[in-house]
Amino acid sequence: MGRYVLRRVLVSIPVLVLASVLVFVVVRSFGVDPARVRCETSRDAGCLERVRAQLGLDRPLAVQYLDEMRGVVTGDWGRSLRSDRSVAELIGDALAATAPLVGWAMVVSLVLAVVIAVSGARRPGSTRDHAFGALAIAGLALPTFWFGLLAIQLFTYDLPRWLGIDGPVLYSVPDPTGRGPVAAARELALPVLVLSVQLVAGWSRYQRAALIEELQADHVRTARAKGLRERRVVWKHGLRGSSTAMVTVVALDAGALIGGVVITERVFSRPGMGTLLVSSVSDGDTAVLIPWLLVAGAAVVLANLIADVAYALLDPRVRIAGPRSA
Amino acid sequence: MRRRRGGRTAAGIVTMAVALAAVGASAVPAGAGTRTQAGAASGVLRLAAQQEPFCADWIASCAGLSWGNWILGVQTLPQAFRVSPAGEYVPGPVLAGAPTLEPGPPMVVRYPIAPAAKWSDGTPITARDFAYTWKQIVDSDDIYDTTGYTAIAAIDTSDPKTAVVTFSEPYAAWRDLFGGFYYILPSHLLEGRDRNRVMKDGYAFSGGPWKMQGGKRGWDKGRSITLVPNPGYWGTVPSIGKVVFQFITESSAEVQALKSGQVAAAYPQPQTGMLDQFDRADLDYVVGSGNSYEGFWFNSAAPPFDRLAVRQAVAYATDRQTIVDQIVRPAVREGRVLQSFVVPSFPEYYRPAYAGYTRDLARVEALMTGDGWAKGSDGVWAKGGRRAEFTIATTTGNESRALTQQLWRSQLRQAGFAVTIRNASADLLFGRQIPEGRFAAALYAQVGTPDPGLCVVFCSQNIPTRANGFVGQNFTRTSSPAIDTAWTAADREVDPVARVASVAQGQAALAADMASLPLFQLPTLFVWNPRQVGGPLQDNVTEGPFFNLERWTLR
Repeated sequence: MGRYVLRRVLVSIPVLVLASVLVFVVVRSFGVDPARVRCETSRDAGCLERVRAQLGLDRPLAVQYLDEMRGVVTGDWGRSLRSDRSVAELIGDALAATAPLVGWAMVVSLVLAVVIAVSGARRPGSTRDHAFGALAIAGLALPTFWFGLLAIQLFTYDLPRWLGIDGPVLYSVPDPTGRGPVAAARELALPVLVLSVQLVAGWSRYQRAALIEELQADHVRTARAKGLRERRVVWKHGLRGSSTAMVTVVALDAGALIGGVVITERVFSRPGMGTLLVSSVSDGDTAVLIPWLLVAGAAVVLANLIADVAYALLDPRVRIAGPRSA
Repeated sequence: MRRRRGGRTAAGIVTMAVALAAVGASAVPAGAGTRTQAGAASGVLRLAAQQEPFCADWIASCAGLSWGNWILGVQTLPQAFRVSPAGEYVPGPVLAGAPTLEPGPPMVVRYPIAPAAKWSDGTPITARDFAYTWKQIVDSDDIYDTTGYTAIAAIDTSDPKTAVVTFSEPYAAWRDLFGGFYYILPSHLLEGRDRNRVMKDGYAFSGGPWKMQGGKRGWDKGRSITLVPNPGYWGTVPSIGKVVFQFITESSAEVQALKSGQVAAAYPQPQTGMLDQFDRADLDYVVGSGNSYEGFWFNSAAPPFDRLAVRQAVAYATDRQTIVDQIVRPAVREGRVLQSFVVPSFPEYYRPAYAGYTRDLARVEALMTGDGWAKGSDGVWAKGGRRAEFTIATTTGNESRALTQQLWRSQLRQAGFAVTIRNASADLLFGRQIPEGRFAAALYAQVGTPDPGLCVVFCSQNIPTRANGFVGQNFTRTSSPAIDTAWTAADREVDPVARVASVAQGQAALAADMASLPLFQLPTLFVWNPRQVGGPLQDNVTEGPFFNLERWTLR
């Protein structure tokens, strides 16, 4: 298993390098000149040249790239062109704000998707299965932005009024004064709900299809023939075998989640990676944009790496079928 | 923009409802707290701030956002003059009484400083603080605006409690000095230090009723600014223990936060349907139209607005009445086209100089062809291979402005102009892009003071350039001898009656040069939850609705 993980990590490195080259070349070629941004308020006529030299922008692009990567690896991520704050600090703060949102959205989505999928797969074609199917299609069709506004109106205003509650129950904007798990839950519930809807809808359909197929497999028939209870058959034998499809989708959605985070953070006025991306793009802050894209790229690669490991854990044949035995 | 002067499912739902009710029972609304004992400040008040300031170094060019002054500046630092909700100058608490003016020459103003006035560390506020502030404004790099301060010849500090300011030339808007959107700074804490570095991200000192909680730590960038009472304040001491200004830049999110009680008050830009929502949510509000004017601002240094004919043609292509009817009236149920950059709230000075600019496509044709432009096959004017195309910028997240842009683009397209919309966050737009001239046309509002002078906004000596470190507020880069002459005269005429003529000439010169196009007096909307907050709640279009925050109470 260790060798397998090591092999996947080594395979990820060139992917990351390639991604970093692409990010760097595209941003530097089409983005704003960092020296120009920094010198715009300077009275010093020689500022542009001096800053270009300071930032190494007068050197070939390849050398600049290597410098940038050295900085990324050693933790020196530079400073924002706009706010002059440390980029590492900015991205660290943004990650810390986004991590609970994404983490809880993944957990909630996984749990709900599996429960819905099992429920549908046990009785395909039943009323419940059709109902979940219709809900899933509706969930996939719901624009995140619109659903966010709808959820805010319902849960922060209409529902408390109907229940006769004076004051907010769930928050549509972060509570800067809130402390503790209850405050965190009230602040995160709605963004997590909004971010999860499309994930639950998509994942539950994938898992249901895979589970229906798995429940017709020989080993499941054998388990049933041995007299195991249906619940055990489904949850232990069926679910495990069908989970590889789910793992693939979850890993692929890790990248797509970035788009959802951008919209969700905007609707709920939350700071985080999405908000930071929007501001750095609109402000032409390439000093933030390049590390941001690298971190996002690394997150996607990491998600895929975790998926690879999960495959191996779920299905030992994956480990065996490495390059040595191919 | 500030102007310095100026089955299971059912069971699940039931369970969730019960859970919500349980949590709701312990829900803490935005304005929550109890008075522990007489005179002791307690409780937390959450307020919405629609824009986050770029920096808190109030005299620097990065501090061009009114919101910064409203939520932090006026709360923490003293000003010689404050502006009342009625739009009148009143001596600030830092003064023992009204300053005296000796017209001269030389013109001299004596500011009597209140004996009890002191900084939060106990150091008295003295004439040295006036002198330090003045020197910083005229001698430092990267200053927002130096208008008026360059007319000061000396400040006599021999009497610590009287600042005697001598001017090298008359300056009519002297009440805006050490006030407006500038503040008196603590010389004993800043002298010999890098003021910008000390202040730009927040500061621990205070000379006002509030101070930042934990100094710079009171500003959680991107989230909030937290204020607590300044225990050393000599005036009205706040009764609320903590005020949190939460940055909510999206109008819809702000409205929902208000309706649901997550924030107790807000000052949103009015949008269509907002008042109906506030009515339904039993919120109190007041709509005002004071000294803020929305307009299309043209960068005269950038093509195609470097041509007078184009500026005038664009004005004739604009149907301002339709914009007011579509944008302002649905939002606040009233509104009219503004015909000057001096608002009608000051009738003695107001002249409808722009009344002749109504939509007239024949005039557009005449002006453009007269200036050598011809329409291309795409219907857009072109001259010398250059098309009459430009960008229009405004603040992101403001639906009314976005709609105004769309309307304007449509109107101008019919008249042969190609307009691209390119917006930016408020802090970037007002902190960088507009001061540095990186725009062609922009849609925003200027917030003025009771002084009618507009030299600060339109005189050529106030054009921010790289050479002067982007000092000045003539963001449109207007350069016209007629404008300079009229508005400089208005600034130097101390006699209010004699000043009327200069101000009238200045307005006529602005309309003739089409420096920019006024749209409407920007309606303001101050909304609060009467179940959460009380006190003397009222709008102040210059200082913002939080100008008397120290007198607010929790309910």
